Amino acid sequence: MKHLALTVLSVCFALSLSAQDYESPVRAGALEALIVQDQGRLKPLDTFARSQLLLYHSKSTIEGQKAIDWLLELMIDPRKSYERKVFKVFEKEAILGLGIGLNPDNVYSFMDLSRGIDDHMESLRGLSEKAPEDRSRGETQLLTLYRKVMQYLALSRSLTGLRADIIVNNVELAEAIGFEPGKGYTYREFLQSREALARELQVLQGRQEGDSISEKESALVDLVQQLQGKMADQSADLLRLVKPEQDQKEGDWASPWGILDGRQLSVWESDRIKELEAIVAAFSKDSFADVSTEVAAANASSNVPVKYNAELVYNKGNFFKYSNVFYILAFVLLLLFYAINVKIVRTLCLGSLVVGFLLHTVGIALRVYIMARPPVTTLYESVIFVGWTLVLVTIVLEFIRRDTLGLIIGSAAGISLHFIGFSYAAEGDTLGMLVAVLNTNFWLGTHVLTITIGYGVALAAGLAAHAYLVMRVIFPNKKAWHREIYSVSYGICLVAVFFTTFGTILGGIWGDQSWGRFWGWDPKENGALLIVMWLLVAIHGRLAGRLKELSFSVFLALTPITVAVAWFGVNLLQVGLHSYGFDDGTAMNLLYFSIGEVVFAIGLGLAIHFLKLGKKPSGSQKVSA
Amino acid sequence: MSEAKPKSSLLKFAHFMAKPEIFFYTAIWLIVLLVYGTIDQKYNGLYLAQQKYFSSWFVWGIFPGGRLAMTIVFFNLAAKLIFNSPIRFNRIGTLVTHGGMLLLLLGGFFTAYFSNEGSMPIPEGQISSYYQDYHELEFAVTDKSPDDHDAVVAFSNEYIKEGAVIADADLPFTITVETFHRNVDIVRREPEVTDGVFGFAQRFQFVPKKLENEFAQNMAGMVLNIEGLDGDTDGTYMLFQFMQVPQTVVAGGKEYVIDLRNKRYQLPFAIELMDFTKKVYPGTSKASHYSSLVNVIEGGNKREVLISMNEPLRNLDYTFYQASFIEGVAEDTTVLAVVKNAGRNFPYISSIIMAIGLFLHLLIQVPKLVKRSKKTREVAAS
Repeated sequence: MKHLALTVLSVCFALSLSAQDYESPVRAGALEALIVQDQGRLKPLDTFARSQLLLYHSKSTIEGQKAIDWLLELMIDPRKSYERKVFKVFEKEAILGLGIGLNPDNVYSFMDLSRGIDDHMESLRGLSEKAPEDRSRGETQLLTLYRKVMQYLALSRSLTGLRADIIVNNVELAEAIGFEPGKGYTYREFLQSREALARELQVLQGRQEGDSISEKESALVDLVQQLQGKMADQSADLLRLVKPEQDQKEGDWASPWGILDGRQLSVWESDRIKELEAIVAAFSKDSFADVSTEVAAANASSNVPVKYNAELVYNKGNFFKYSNVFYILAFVLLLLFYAINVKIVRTLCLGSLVVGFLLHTVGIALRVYIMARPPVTTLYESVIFVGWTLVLVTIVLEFIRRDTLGLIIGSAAGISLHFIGFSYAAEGDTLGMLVAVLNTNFWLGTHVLTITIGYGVALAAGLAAHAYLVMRVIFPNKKAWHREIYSVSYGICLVAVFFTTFGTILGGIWGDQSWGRFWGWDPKENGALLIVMWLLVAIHGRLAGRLKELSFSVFLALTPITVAVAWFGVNLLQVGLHSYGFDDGTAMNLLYFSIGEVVFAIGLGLAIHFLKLGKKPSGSQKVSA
Repeated sequence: MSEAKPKSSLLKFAHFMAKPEIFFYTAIWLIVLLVYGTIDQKYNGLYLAQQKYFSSWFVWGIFPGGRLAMTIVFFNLAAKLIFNSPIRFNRIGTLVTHGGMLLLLLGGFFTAYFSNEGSMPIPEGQISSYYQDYHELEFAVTDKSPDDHDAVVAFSNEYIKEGAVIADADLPFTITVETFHRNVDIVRREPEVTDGVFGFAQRFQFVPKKLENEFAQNMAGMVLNIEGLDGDTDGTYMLFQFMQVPQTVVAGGKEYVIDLRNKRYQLPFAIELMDFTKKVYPGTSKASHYSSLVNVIEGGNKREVLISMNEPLRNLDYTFYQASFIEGVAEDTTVLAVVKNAGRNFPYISSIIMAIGLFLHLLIQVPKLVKRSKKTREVAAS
């Protein structure tokens, strides 16, 4: 908590002295491709900017402005950014804790918050010294917000060391330290004149109070103040842009300020800093500068195998968003088809679903390419992949059957899963690094993939059973049709058994290979087993004659609950090797989902049974004796 | 053919055991256990919940526990394979799958009864030839007097409880366990007691407390009464798990160390940790990889092996996994997980068999299940 020594506002003031005002907004352009190290991974600055903006603003764009432009503006024109309403804060207690009036839109500017922080420095200091487990929920939120604000401040100061704004106007002093009067120098350049400056300062130290001060000396005091203002920024080490050694393959990168810590720079370091200075200089002259040459040069010097172009395509492509647009379109077209029954509409609907699926595929493929690892490694990726599997199954189904069963399941499920995915994507960079035990492509590629496909197919089986129940209610007399959907759902159920069983056993084998036990009754394992058992009960109940067409379908329609429990629910228990962490929101959503499914499946099942839908048709038709 | 004989009751029972209904109801019960046992882990920890629901014959008094339920499934499956599996082409997939499942369950039984596991911490540069159980305890008496080895007599299971009497022909004294608790806090005795009380017990006593969710974090403690010692040292002694200061007694002119510790299993070879390496993701403290470079010392032979995440060392019946590590003490210490398991090949074989079986079943069954019939095609067209 070294920041606590300085108050935020005084730092802002010092900073604003050196800030430059731009008339027009900034445009980062090629800067997006500059490689930065963040959260254990090398990535283009664009990804970094997006995850930073998500952190403060809960969205990866701000007022129509791209994240990278926002970031650049924050770093080269902070005064404007400090007044912008960037911080989205939903935690009311934290805002009230800072003594700020609540804003109905929940957005606050950096200045709003830092004023509050300055007024409450004492209590914040007390809070940060308190043990985490003793803090109340509101206190934790307040401290989190405080740290976010400080991080924002540090971020805004990341590039101050690269800017040529150390100016000496006094000719005598300039000559003494080897500067050209009136010209701007960067901190790196200043470091070369450091010894000369030290000599000058020694002279100044001999002076008595009351002695008259020469112009040169007054300029010297000015310069020292400028430098002190700069050096306050040295803790701004968020933006790790510099590979510290030429031959370094892995390991930590440094921020510009991490390199400019006062020591003698190596030629390599000095060259890297010069490259970055060139970029900053370009933007200092022109906020629309084209820095593609400078960025390309800096990236070429780093010489690291980072697929930043693919990542930029991935970032800009928004493949999952557009995939969802097509799924929604497919759904709307399907409703239209049900209303007007024109064949071409069904074909268009299928086409739309397929286009959505292809975009979905491209998104996943790019992620696999960028990270060089299998498609499912995190909860977010599992959501995306389960959606993909489901849509694939339903497209195949639709091509076989051509009766819209696949279309209705595919579009509805594709849309829902994409929305769940978006809520996870809002947490930051979704291309994260993995804990050591998961860091293995072989098992991620076999067990995780198989079990995730199993989730998707099990959901498809459950949804086919939903379709069966709905059909029984809407068209109670189309018995042949009912029977077919029933057998389709049974068929998908068998496929689901294959993937979930095989995936679960592969998980056991991974366990045996990696930590010596095939089965440990860990919640995640039990969750997978729950799905398998559920499906097996359905199959054997049917075989034993204990589950008939209707009861089998009701049972199978409840499968999505077991999938959701295995997938998200076990994380709520927070025990065992597999838990990923959770929030109360997940628990409530899971509960609502389960209640909804139970009401739907059992409700429809009971209604069909007791109202004898399809058995006692109105009119004169007789039921066979 | 002669007249049909009435089936023997044994055969009737066998046919009854082969019914799918048995699986149906047992599986529903297993789902109940699975859900209960998993939720219970949040409150009682993984180990205790597993013992209570999954590794038990009975739960809640009279209801079948996980082990009994799986035994029923096993016999159900065996009976089905023997008495109720007509060999027909479209049933070949299920037949193979069920065979694989039977093997998997069999492997489970082997593992449950013939395996043990534990952890093996080794500091850099040191050699170890035993591993210790995660949960089970032993009471060990060590005679340090022989020059070339320590003579250890260890007592476990039924000896580690209140009222147990520990005696052995090799030991010149008798020990009675006065109290035993699986988890305790240590508190200072004010004032100290010296009358008939010795060692650590003079200055400290323990207060029993609730079991931890992470079972291995429990610290057991026991109070002993020892008779037959030299001098005037018969009386009360006290032991804790993870005790740093060895407690000694003298009998027959020899010094013995008494210790309450995790049960130890001796290995027929030794392992020396030469180097422990931990890598983190750049710019973070998140471990990306860790590994231990060890020497396996067998007889006079040394063999160098690198144990890392997902790449264990296998030697004889034992497998050594990189489980975790301890940093910040004098030397980096690796923690290996050691497993001795006679059933470890079963899942591999059975999963291959089951995968083949299920796949065959899918090929045979699914196409005709999902196909659209002419009938509904006509209905749709109309």
